[in-house]
Amino acid sequence: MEHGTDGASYALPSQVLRSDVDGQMVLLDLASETYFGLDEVGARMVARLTELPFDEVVASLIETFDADPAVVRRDLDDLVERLVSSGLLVRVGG
Amino acid sequence: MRAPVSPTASERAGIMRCAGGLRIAERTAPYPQNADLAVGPVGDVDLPSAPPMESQRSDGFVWRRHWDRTKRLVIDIVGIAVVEVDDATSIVTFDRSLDPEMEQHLLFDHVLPLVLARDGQLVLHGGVVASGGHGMVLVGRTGAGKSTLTAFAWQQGWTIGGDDGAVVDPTDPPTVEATYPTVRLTPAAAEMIGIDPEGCSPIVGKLRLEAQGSKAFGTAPVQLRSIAIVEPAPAGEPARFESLGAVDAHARLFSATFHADYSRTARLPGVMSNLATIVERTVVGRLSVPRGLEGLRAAEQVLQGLVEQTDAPTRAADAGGRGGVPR
Repeated sequence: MEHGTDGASYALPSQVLRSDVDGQMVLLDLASETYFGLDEVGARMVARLTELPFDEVVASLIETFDADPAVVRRDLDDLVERLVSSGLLVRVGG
Repeated sequence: MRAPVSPTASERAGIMRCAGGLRIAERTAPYPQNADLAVGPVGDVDLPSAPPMESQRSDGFVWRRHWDRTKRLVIDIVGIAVVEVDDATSIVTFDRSLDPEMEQHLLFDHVLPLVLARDGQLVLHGGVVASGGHGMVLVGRTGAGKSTLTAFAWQQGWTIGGDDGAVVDPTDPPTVEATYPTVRLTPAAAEMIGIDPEGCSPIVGKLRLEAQGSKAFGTAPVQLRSIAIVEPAPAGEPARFESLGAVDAHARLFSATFHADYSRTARLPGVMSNLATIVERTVVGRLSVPRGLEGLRAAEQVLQGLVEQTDAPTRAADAGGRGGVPR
């Protein structure tokens, strides 16, 4: 599934708490009382997703990682898919 | 008769000085007014109607529930007693008469950590040990061997603060102090490490070690260097410390934290942030402790190596005989 069309933006739901730790990220879902961890790359992706619209996040990550745009978009799509399906991310615009 | 500003020893009787200088008066204290919290007469305790925060065993059994309300803290140690801490009066009320040992145990091992957590302190369930002014917290599930290792370290010359709760301050560098000075062992553990039961006090089926002379408890905060998650291992295997990654460390410490409140709007975000700071400023790892006296010796040597080390370990440390952490 492709995300980020029509200027989509994302945010953490109100029941999800975030903590940045040593470049990584933990997400605590209070509803399910479950802990999730993101490595440095995932942490950076989620941090930017909560700050910028999807397409701008893609552009930012392409520049940061100097990577193939198609790979970046695919990886970001996959991450968003997993987080949304787990209830850790919600679409808020677009 | 009003107590003087500086109470005498007899006037401090029955008052425990806990972490952060919090003074708690047990029921027998002759001058409870010298304490910050005091056990009052047995009385009725109303359970709040709001959903409680529950503490569960691994089999799902809820063994404790508590409510952090605006003006009081209510703790239901399921099947044992309900306790209320009233903010206005600073009185601790038990809903029933209990054996003095049990009441003391509930007061210091259940009420105290939650009072401290409710006050914004970061409280881990674990022991505090220190060597050369550098401290370590030993966390782990009930029965993992934290108290036994703490007591053994004490015998080897370590300073110990206590074996039940550790108040961690995420300053730079971070510091730690025990919730209160105590070590409780099962009689079998005490016998294994050669502690004479005659020098102990019975407390709810265990033995409370008494601090004496040179083996006094360390009551001042110490610099926190490492946090070891104690995990039992079969006898004969090497003692081993393996550092955890940041996310794993955070998760393990979160599960070892006394939570006064489990909601977004209250203390939990601060707890998570403070734990992240602690993970970044200390070394957190799994400590495998083989069963038996030789296992304790090996584990203690690994701990000593951790304390002496100045850089964070980058790989696991083994101690089959002598301990040490590669630089």
